[in-house]
Formats: sequence, structure tokens, C-alpha cells
Amino acid sequence: MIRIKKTIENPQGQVLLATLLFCFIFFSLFIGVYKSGIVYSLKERATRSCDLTALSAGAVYGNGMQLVRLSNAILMGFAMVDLGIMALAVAFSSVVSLGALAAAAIKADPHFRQIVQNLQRVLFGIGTTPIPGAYPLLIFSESLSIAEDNGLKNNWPLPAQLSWRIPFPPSPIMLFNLEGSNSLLISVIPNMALKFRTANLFIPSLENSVKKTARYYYTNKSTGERIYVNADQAEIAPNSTNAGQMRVKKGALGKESNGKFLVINQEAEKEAQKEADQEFKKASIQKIETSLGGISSLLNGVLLDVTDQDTPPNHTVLVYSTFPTSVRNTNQASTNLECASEISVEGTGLSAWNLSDPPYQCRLISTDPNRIIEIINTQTQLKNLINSNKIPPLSNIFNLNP
Amino acid sequence: MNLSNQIKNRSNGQALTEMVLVIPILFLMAASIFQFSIFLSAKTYLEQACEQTARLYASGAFSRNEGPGQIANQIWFALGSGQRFFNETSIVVIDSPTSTLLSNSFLPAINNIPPPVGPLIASSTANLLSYTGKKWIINAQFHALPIFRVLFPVGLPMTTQMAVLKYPAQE
Repeated sequence: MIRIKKTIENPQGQVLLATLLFCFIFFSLFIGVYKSGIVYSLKERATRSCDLTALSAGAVYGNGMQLVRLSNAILMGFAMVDLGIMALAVAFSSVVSLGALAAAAIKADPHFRQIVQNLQRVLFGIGTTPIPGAYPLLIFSESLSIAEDNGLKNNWPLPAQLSWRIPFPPSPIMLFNLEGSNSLLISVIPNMALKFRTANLFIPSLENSVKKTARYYYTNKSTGERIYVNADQAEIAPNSTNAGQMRVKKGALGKESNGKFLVINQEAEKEAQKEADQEFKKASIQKIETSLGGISSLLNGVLLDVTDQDTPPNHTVLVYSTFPTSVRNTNQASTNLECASEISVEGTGLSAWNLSDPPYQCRLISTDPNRIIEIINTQTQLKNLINSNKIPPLSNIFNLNP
Repeated sequence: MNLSNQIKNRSNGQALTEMVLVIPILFLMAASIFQFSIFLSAKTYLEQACEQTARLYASGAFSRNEGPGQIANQIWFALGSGQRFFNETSIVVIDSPTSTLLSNSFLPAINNIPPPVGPLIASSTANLLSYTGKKWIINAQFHALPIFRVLFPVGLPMTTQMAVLKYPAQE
């Protein structure tokens, strides 16, 4: 108490003390600004690096799509040669019946096109999952190089190393054509989402189910909301002034909706008409199919050119990467910044006649934040898979351990 | 003795003296925070300008003339209102090939094959694998505030690097 009194009476050095306090506050502020500023700047760079890596993957992917077009053109050339030889065989055959001519043509088929198809299989990894094709591997490897050039963490070893092993945890992770993949783990394997077109694709599909649409609706008078009702939830209203007036079936929707008069949903009515037409077409095609003796299943085995696996075509690459920084966290450990970028590769088509079309181009698309969670889960799954020793290193596979 | 005691106990102007001593320190600290914020802002401008330039390159916007000078010009243009933090001449771009398999392994290996096979393979490779890329190191000098120019007369250096591939190599 006496000391405080003395200090009040004699204010020497108080300003200095207050200044020192301010200096400390300023210093803390400076440290805060410094840390957040540096992290923001690094985040900016990490995002850029990830974007550029994804764009680079897209560039190599786009080049691959042009190669697919070229290979399809070559395949077409080989198919023409096959057809020519078959035509010659038919022309020079002495038989006259249609069946014998067909048999002669099939016998004379040299199957040159299969050489190209086998090459396409190996090159683009068509139907070879889980073994990736040569070109998808090139996309992966080139993207890794660019990731490293951009300062992103790359712990994938060089493919030339004998003790090649999936890193733990792998970074960067690339997910190929995630939309069309059955699982995230499958999309980790480099692929180009391609398949062979089969001859039965030209027969209209019989499996197309028409989307069920609500046939009727009524309007909730208090909220103005339209409540849509399916045909099986409606019944004819008895003793109605309007003939054929429908109402909500008792217990079909809930207490509030019971007995509400319904209005016909015009769009659904049109849809129903379409459905009826399609049913009619379907029945006709089925009749034709039956009469031709299962031609569809026969054509299913006839492989044509390479086309997109999904309809509509989906060619995307998602890059999830780590940008190492020297910024320390509270545990004095270096902080890594995680970022994700996704690109879509788009073009006019993969057929041989698209060869002279503009090349495939890639563009950055926004990444769904939910995807990030999925990717982190994939990373964990990969980690567990590696831990369980289900994936041996290449050196073990080839028995090359020193 | 009395006089000396009186002088000792007089505190007139003491606070003023202390203020004179500490205000420059406070001012310097506030100015350095301000300066540092501007520096970070400039850095962000530069990073964004670099990204825009790389994306333009990837889209094939300057396929005819994509030397370091053209890249530096594009970065300067993309800086927009951030130009006030830099000198145009201080932006220096150094380019080099990327470390991709194509530029690091395939092309050097093909170049070692003697003619006529080598050039033939080279031209077909250029047609089949027609993507290309560059890696750039970008150096720029940030204008310090007048008060800090005493400490940094030529400005504060900033360096960043980026790499990207583009397809097709020639539009």
C-alpha cells in the first residue's frame, strides 16, 4: 500500500513503463501479422502450385485423348483391310448360299484390327484395371514431376527404383475420373475412363426405365406450396361434379392431405404418353430381337473403336497435394498446407472422324468440399492397406531384394 | 545541499523527456507493421499475377513468343493495381525446362540417336507427345516505403517459382 502511494506521489519512469508495455503489444501484433501474412502468402502459392499441377495433368491427358483419336483412325484403316480381304474371299468363293458366303467371309477374316485393339488396351489401360495403362502412367508421372517443380511435396519414389513401394502417406494423391469410379481407391489407379465400343450399342437400349413422375398435385392453401402425388396415391373422387375428378387416397400421404382434390400435372401427363410410346417401341424391338435370335448378345462381343466409358463423357483429374512450409505450429513442428484442385478434360469426341477436330482442352473446375473429406478417407485407407502389407514392393514381386 | 535536493526531486518535464525517447521507437514499430503488411500485400499480388500468367501460358495465349521477356511483361500487366509496389524493370524471369520425363529423358535420348533415324523419331515424338512446358523462377524488387529506403535502397527482393505444361505445344 505504501509502495503504491509512493509511486503515485513520484511518477518517475511511468511513461517508460507504459511505453515498454506498448512495445510489447506492438511486438505481439507484429508477430501475429507476420505469421498470418506469411501463411496467407504461402497458401496463395500452394493453391497456385496445385492448380498448375492439375492443369499440367490435364495437358498430358488431353494429348492422350488425341492419341486415342489417332489410334481409332489407325484401327479403322486396319478394319478396312480386314473387310477388303473378307470381301475378296467372298468374291472368289464358288458357293452361292448366303450362309456359306458369311462363313467364307468369317473364315477369311485376318483380324488385323485386333493387333491395334490389343495395343490400345495396353497403351490406354482399357479393361486392364487394376493394372494401369502406359499412357495413364505417363500422365501420373509427368504430373508428379510438375508437382515437384512447383514446390509441392512428392514422396513417390522414381519408378526406376527397385525397392519401389507406395509411400506412406502418399502425396500428392491424384484421383482419376472420380465421378465414374466405383470407389475412391479405384480412382487412385491412373486411368483414362475409356472402353471399347461394341456393335450392340447401335441397337436402342431396352433397359431405359422411364423416370416416374408425379401425375397429380394439389396446392396447400395456407403455404401456397404444391404437393405432388403419384398415381398410386390417388383415387377417383366419388359423386364429384366433375367426371373423373381425382383425390388423395386416404392414408396415402398423411392426415392433412386426405381427400384433397387433385389437378392433373400436364408435364407428367406428357411424360406418361412418352412412356407409353417407349413401351410400344420396346415391345416392337423385343419382337425383332427375338426374331433375329439374340443378335444383340452376338453384337456385344464385336469390339469396335475406343470410346468414353461414361455417358456423358467424364474425364477429370483431382490433385490433392501438400505444400511444405517452414512455418512452425505450437508443437514446433513444420506446418504443411493441404490443397486440392480439379480439372476436366473436354473435347468433341474420340472417334476416328474427330481426328481433325480441335484438340481436347482442360479447364479448372471447382472442387466439392465434401470430396476433400473423401480424399482424406482414401489416404487413410491407403495407409491401412500399406500397413497390412497387402501391397508388396516391386523388389519383392520380382525377387530382387539385395 | 537544499538546492541539490530540490533539483533532484523536481520532476518537471520528466514525462516529456521519456516521451521524446520512446515515441521514435513506437513510431518505428508501427511503421514496420504497416510496411510489412504492404510487403505481404505486394507478395500476394505477385503470386496471383504469376498464376494468371502461367494459366495464360497453359491456354496457349502466347504460343509464338513465350520467352522470359514475354512472361515478365505478362506478369507486369497482370499485376494491375499492384504495379505500384514494383518497378517494371525489376521483374526478372529465368526459364528452364521442366523435370518431366518428356523433356528430361525422352527428348535427350532421342537427340543422341544419329540421323536419319534420330530426327525421324524426334519429329514423330513431337507429333505424338505434343505437350510442352516451362519452369520459371521469378525475381522482383519490392519498393519499400520512403522511411525504409534508407535500410533497403534497392527494395526488398521477392522470389517465387512455378511450372506448368501446355497442350498443344503449338497452336
